[in-house]
This record gives sequence, C-alpha cells and structure tokens, in this order.
Amino acid sequence: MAERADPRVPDAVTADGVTVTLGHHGTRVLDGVDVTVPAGTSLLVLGPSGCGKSTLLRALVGVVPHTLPGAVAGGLRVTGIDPRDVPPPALAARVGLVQQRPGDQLCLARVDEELRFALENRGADPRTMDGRATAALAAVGAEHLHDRATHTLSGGEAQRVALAAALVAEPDLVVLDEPTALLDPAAAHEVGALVAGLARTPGPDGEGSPARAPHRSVVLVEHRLDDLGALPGATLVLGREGRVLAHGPTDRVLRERARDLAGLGCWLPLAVRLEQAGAPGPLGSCAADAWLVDLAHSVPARPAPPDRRPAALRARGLAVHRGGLRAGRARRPARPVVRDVDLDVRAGEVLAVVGPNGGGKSTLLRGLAGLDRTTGEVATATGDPVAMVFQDPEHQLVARTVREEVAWSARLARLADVEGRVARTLDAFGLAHRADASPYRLSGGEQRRLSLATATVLDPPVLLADEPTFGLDRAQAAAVARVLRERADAGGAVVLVSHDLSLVAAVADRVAVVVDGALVTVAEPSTVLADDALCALAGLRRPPLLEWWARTGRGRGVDPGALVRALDTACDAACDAACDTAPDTAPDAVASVGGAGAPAPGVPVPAEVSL
Amino acid sequence: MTAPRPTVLERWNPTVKLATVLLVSTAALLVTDPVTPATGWLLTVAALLALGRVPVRTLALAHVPFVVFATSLLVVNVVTRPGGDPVTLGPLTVGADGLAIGAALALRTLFVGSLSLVLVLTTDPVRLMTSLHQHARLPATWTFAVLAAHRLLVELPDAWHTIRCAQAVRDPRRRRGRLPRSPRSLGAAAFALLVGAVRRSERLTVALESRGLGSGPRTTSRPVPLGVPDVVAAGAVLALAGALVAVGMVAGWVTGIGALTA
Repeated sequence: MAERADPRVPDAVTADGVTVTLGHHGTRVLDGVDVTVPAGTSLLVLGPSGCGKSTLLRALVGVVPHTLPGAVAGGLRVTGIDPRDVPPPALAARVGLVQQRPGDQLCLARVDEELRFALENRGADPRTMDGRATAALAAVGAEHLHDRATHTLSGGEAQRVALAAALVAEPDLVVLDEPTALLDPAAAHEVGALVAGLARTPGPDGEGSPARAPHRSVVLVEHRLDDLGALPGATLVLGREGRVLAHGPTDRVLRERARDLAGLGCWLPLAVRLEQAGAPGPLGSCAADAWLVDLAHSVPARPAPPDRRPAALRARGLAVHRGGLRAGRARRPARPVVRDVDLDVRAGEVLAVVGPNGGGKSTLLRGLAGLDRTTGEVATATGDPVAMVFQDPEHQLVARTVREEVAWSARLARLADVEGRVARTLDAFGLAHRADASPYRLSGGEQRRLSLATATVLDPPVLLADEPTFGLDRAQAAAVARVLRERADAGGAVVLVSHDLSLVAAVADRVAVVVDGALVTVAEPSTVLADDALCALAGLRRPPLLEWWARTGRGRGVDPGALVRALDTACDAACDAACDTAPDTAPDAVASVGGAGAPAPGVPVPAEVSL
Repeated sequence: MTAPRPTVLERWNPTVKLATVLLVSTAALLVTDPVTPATGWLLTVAALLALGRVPVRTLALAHVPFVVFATSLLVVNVVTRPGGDPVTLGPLTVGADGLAIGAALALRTLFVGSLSLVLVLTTDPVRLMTSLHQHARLPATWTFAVLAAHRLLVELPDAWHTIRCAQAVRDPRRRRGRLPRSPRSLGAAAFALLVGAVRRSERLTVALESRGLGSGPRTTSRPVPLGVPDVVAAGAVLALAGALVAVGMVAGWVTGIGALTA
C-alpha cells in the first residue's frame, strides 16, 4: 500500500485522471477526473442529471467495477486503498455508503438487526454491539426507532437509520448519494443538517475522542443545497461529458462559476442565486430586501382564477381504501387511508397537494383517478377519464418504443389521426429523436417527459401528477413546471403532488394540505405558506426564500409565487447574458477555482442566510 | 413493544428443527397406509396448538392449500384406481383400494403440510438464517442474501398494485375501481415489476456490501443456542415417529410403498 506523506492519515480520496466506463459496451461516463479530499473534510459534487455524479460515488466504494460491470482507469485511492484491489465489502470497513432511496438500503427486518448486522460483518466484539448500535442511532436522533420494523419506517426515519448503519462501523469516509431527494421538506432539512455535521477532525490533543478513526470525511451528491445546514467545504462540478468543470472551495466555486452551474441546470443555494440575479447584498440587509421587493413587484402576481369557474373534477365524501393484494384479506374493512374529502378542481387551475410523507397524498391522487377502492363520489365534469403521471415513470411503461408508448392511449381511444397526434406530441416534448428507442433506455429526464407526453396525448380535462420533478435537475424540473402551468393556462385542470414548496408557490393557484389521510385545508399558496402552525402540522418547512417572504416580504405586499418566478427569471436572464458573451462551459475552459485543492477543514460555508 | 415469551417450538434450535422435520417428512413418504399419517398429522396439529400456541384460525387458514391438494389426490385415486371390494358412498360405488390409497396420500399431504407449518409458523427468519450459518455452516453471504430477498418479496405485492394502477390509468376506456385483467396487461405489469425488482435487487446488493457482508470472519451478536434439550427434543420426535410405525407394524396396518403398485 503506497502511503502519502503522513502515513497515519492518508487523504480520504485522491483521484488522478480517473476515467470510468460503464456497462458491457464501455460507455464513458467520467473522463479524467482529478480530485482530492483531505482527511476530515467534505466534498460536494454538483452537476446536471446524467453527468456521472452517482458513478463517481460508485467508483469510490468499489461497486464499479466489482459489483456492476464497468472499468475504472487512472489513479484512485480511497482512504489510502485502491478500491479496485479490494472487494467492496472489505473496503466497507473504512467507507460507509448512504443511497438515495430509503427503502432499498435496509436489508433486514428490524432496525436494531440492521445496525448489528453492519457490526457483525466486520467481526466486532458481540459484547460491544448493543452499545455501539444505540450510540449510532442516538447520533442521528433515532434511538426511539430501535425496535421498529424497517418496512414501517417513513422516508425520513429510514434515511436516519441508513445513516446510522453507515456510521456504526466508524468509517473514515462517508459517501452519500442524494440522501434527501425523496424526503418531505421537514425530514429533508433534518437529514440535511445531520449530513452537514458528519465531517470531523480530531481535537488538538485527542482528549475524549475515540482511539480509532479520528478523522471522518464526506463525499456528498445533493441537489437540495438549501436544506443542508452548512455546505461542504469543497465543491467539485462535473459537466455533461463527465469532465471536471471546477474544483475548489465551495464558496468560490459557487460564486465564480454560478453562471456555468445555472447554465448546466444545477440547483444552487439561494445566496448564490441572489448574487447572480444582481442583489445588492445578502438577504436580510435593507438594500437586498428593498431590491427583492421591487423584483417581485416587477412580475405580476397571477390573477386568481374566478371562483365561479366550473369544476373540472369534483369529489364529495371521497374515501380511498388501501388497495393491493393484502387488502382483501383483512377480516373487517380497515380504516380508509384517505377519508371525507370534498374537493373541486377547477378548469384552468393548478392545485398543489402537499403534506408529510405517508400522509395519503399519493393515495388521494389514485382515488381521484378512480384507481383504488373508493367510496363517495368522484367524477369529471365531462365524464372523460382523468390522466395521471405516477412518481416512477417506469411503472407506466407498456410498449416497446417511445412512439408506441405515446400512441398507446390514442389507439385505445380509437382516435382518427393517431399518427399525426403522436408526432405532434413527440415534438412538443422534445422526444422525436428518441421515437424508436426503448422507453427503458431513456434518461431520467427523458422518461419524465415521456410520461407527461403519454398522459397528455389525449388532451385530458384533468391531469394528476405525483412528484413529477423528483430526481430531475433544475432545468428539467423547470421544464416540467412549464408544461403543467401551460396545461392549466390552456383551460385544463392540473393536480400536482410535490414536496418542493418553491415549485408549489411558483405554479399553483391553490394548495390542498393533506395530513394523516384528511384534507386539512384548501387555500391560496400565500395563505398556506404564511400559516406557521399549518406548516408545522404538515411538515412544510419553508425554503429560505419563502422564509424571507413569510418574515419580511409578505408585510410589504409581495406575492410568494411572483417572488419565486421573478428570481428564476432574473437568474435565467443573467445566465443567458453570460452565456452569450462567454460561452465557456467547454471542457477546455476548466479552471481550478482558487488553485488550492480544498479549503481548510472545519470552515463551513453557510447554506442558509441567517435572517 | 413487549414480545410474548417464546413458545417451546419457537425456542427449539431452527437447524435441528429443520433437520427433524425433513427427516420425518421423508420417512412419511415411505408409508402408504392411512392410519400412520393420520396419527402423525393429529400429533403435529396438537403440538402446534399446545407447544407453538398457534391460533386455531391461523392454523386453519394455513391448511387451506394442503386440504385442496389432498382432496384432489383423494378424488384422482378413487376415480382412477379400481380394485378391492366395492364400497358404497351415498349414490357412488367406488373400489376399496382406490379409497384406501387415496385417503393415505391425502392424509400424508396433510401430515407433511402440517410439519412444514411447524417451520413456517414458529420460526423467526433471522434466527433460522443465523442458526443455519452457525450450525449448518452455510455461508453468511448466502443466508443474508436470502433475508434481503425476503424483504424484497414482502414489498412486491405493493409494487404490483402500484404498477397495475399506473398502467390502468393510461386506458381511456377503463372503468372506475377496476384494474384490467387481460393477459396482455398482466404481462406488461409483470415486465415492469421484473425490471423494478432487478433494479431494486441491484441496490440491495450494494447495500449488503456496504454493510460489509462477505468481508471476512464475522461475529454473531445474538447467537442461537444449540444445547442438549434441542437434541433431546429431536430424539423424542424421532422416537415417537418410530414408535408409531412399530405399533402399526405389530397391529398390521402399516404398508410400504409397494402397496402403490400392487
């Protein structure tokens, strides 16, 4: 094992020209990546969808090439070991991994079994296991979950347990792949705060610190930067070709490369977006407040659709029962998952449905679509069936090619001009060039566009969308939001389930809050977002921009939707102007911002602007 | 959450229990008279109720598939196996040989079925896998992969329902509250389920490896005890089975597999 200058503490990661090809065809995903993560520091990896962020993490933990087919070339050392030389389970003694999907990374039936499992595999002393498992759960605030069955955990709880299971073996490096992507805003913020505090260096004299593993380093892929308590000290930006666009201290990378990042469609923290849009100072300063108020007023608030518009979808006393194979076996009918819902969705509006994970939002949507067992009344004004986009686009695929997929509903409806309609829809969603591809081979963003195309090809009166922006980068999410808004503006009705409150504020006319299977309220976004008690009840944690709105902007007559849209527009305009003058997102223009590989450890960059 | 005290059957070492059940089941295949499996079945059911504290309702429901299979065996043998004295069953007259063999095979099905229930209803999966690793020397990568796969299986029904809904909603002529049952739609749903399961199992494999499974010698935090009582219990069960056959041979009702071709 080649050791570096300080043999006791090797760098957590050193990558020197790492090129990764995936699959049996050798598709190049990462190209010549150079990056160093000194022990005890954290690295944030940013980039557009499909740029190879997850692949980089998989190469670090050795999943590529050991578990998944692929090849890793170049110099790579993780905690001083070449991950290509040892099998992933052996490397796992030093490297912990947290994946994106909460449900797919807990292997055993109970929480304490899961934690002990991680210790047993490393040959830990059985007498210390219970204590270590309890300590690891306590470190993530999950002591109370120790005897719960893993399949009953909510997304946020499962992610905490997964984090505890990664930490319990005291790894030198923790690798996290979008740990908050599937969580509701409150849970995402809590998990994000935990993640931000993971990296550590030993105290000056090591007093009180455990004898082993004094350093803990972090490599993190994350979109929801505003939910992280503090951003990692260093940032690596990957471009579309899997090359390094920038690498350096987070603060400098985000500020100096903000336009490139926005141009790539990456999510950025609010402070950076404000600066990019030309704010005269950080949020909370008088000048910035006034500037932001003016900016929001420059965009007209969306006129409230008149109350007298006809209801496109009407539900009265709707109760939705749990579907599925097990439902029929219950001896007595179980309590419905969603009950007593009276709801009118009007033509021409976007109605957002928000609430905590597991509160019944998706079930309500299925009930509105008439899919699960329902009681009560639910019908569209015209009698036409509603269309629905599910959370996972792959669940809805039925055909062999993209073209056939879009034509499927049209054929069943026995429409006259199927070919023409399909061609127009493919064009509208930018899928014409992939028309003959297998729908399973599309990228995440393309699959989402396909699911929207298949749902709207019949021009349905009502479109229901369950988390349609999940897993998309900012540019793709904005495109989806545009599609939904355009449908409503053209006279359709849209129901949107989302955890993204900025999206909700930007596109929704009304917001329905669903908690524990009941419809708590339906009101305008500004009313819901301003109600602290309601937000706490429904797990709605306002992102920083909307928090500013609730504390400051609201008093000055700012509309939250106008505020979000105005800032988006200003950022896009700034980005367009920059791209016109300096189209330097080409790999040749790569600059290591600030020169130094990473900042001094232990200097967190605030992700949120204190108010 | 306070778990009730484990029952005698639950405390029995899972590997010894599995071996005993397999041994008795295999032996039962060699016997073709109705009395021996009937006695064995009654004893097993009594043990499940008394020593395993299995609720009667659970036991009855778990018997349904075995009863269906047993009935079909009985009918097939009665109808297709002539010979012996004619026996009148209400309006029907059947051969005694077919009736005897059919009843024996049906009762054997119930007996072996109830033995399998001893395993299924009174064994904790994690304990079984730990014990198989500890005592039967099965590799841990193998036993825990089975456990993880079991978790995946538990969630498949929900995924199936979601996929059926997700595909049904695309049919403009669908009827409310009905999911399509055509072979084509079921095939499409099965394909989507398969793709999803493959992707999930990939992620689970990564998760198992990231927990260090297969990295070398492992320890066990909750070792499953294997003691004298476990072996004595196995001996007692085997002795009882032996005694049952011995009594039958003395009394003359036990027949071997030769009777099937006679």
